[in-house]
Amino acid sequence: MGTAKISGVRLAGLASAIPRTVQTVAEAFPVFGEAATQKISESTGVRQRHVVPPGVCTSDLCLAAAERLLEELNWGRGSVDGLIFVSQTPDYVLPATSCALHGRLQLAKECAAFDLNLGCSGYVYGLWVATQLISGGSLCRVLLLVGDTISRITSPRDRSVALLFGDAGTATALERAEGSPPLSFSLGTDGNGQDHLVVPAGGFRQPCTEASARRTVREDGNIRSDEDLYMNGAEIFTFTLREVPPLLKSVLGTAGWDVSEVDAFIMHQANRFMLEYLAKRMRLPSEKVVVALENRGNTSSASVPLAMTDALAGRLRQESLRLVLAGFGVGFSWAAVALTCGPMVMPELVLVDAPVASTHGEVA
Amino acid sequence: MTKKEFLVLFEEIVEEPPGTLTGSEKLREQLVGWNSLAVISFLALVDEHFGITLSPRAIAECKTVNDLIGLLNGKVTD
Repeated sequence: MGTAKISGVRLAGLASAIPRTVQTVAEAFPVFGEAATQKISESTGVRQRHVVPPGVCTSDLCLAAAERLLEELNWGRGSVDGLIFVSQTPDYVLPATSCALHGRLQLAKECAAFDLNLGCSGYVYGLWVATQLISGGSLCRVLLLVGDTISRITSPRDRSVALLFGDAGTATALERAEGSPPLSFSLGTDGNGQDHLVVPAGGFRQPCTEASARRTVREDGNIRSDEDLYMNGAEIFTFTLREVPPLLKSVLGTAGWDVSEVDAFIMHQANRFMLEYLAKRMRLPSEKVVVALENRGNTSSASVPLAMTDALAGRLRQESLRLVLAGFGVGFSWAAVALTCGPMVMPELVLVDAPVASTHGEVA
Repeated sequence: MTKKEFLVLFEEIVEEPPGTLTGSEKLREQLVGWNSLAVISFLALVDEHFGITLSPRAIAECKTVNDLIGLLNGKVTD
């Protein structure tokens, strides 16, 4: 497992944005039946999700979060020298969405911008990359924009995914700060899991065709097309049992922390059953394990930062907290970080109505 | 654990009345509650009680409840 301990970087702020449109569990009763739907909702812990209306992309959500964050941080746009966009639902195949966002945010030309294509593990991978670039001397101030609109790639007639995923976009600001407490990372991959969480068609391995767009009944009884997300819950569950306990043990070891010294564990908000089982298995005090997906759903790469906004904003504005963040899933890919953050700027949750036009700001 | 104790736990997972299963039941044909959520609950049960991580593929190949018990390395006795 790749590990790292990085110093001299602080999280200056974190903002999250979600679409205003909500879908409740009740709306799925006609599709799957009330009893079956309630059972799924009980297991996943999701009662409602925020989903984008047509035309709204992940970048729009991230932009809204970034604008709010820059305003409350009072960062001049010209002072941002790194922009990283983490998502599996980009605007285009090319150009990189980070470049488009660079333009919409009116950042300076002396700014490195690139995309990072990861899902559940994406936020922590993004933190790892950003902190390395700052600590290594390349950059001073990074905007890490992380989000997904998975609702746009799921079939409403596939019960394994239709009730689970919500949309969100987040912005995290990182900057060079001597004397900041270290961040301890652990990262890993298992490519053997590639088929268990996949959108089969639409890339170059299997291009889109008329057939790939057709929704048909599959072996598991669900109805989806090859352009819809396929998820094998059982394989993913066994993967988490295998990899997540050693992952958390590793970062705690690198940080030199005991479980009792951690203020909160924020794991990827995949579903409540799995979060509660992992917490039990790893003997984590339940009051320290954040479960915040009831009204949000599983928001893929955004789930960890969104949970920080939903569950810890008040405390992070005022206190310094020892946190363990962990993302794991699609790939299979996994990453965790043990870090101390706060007090930091934590804007209120942003609600997005429509594609966001960039505001005119001065390049400081 | 005994087979009787195991069946009680299993009945809860597949939502069958306690004390009704014998082990010979066919999973897909006879147990309405044997769905994808039940498989995950079963994986958790086996992990928690026996410390075994079963393979979902091995589970998919099981036809009866007794077949599932057969995956447990003799940890469930009659």
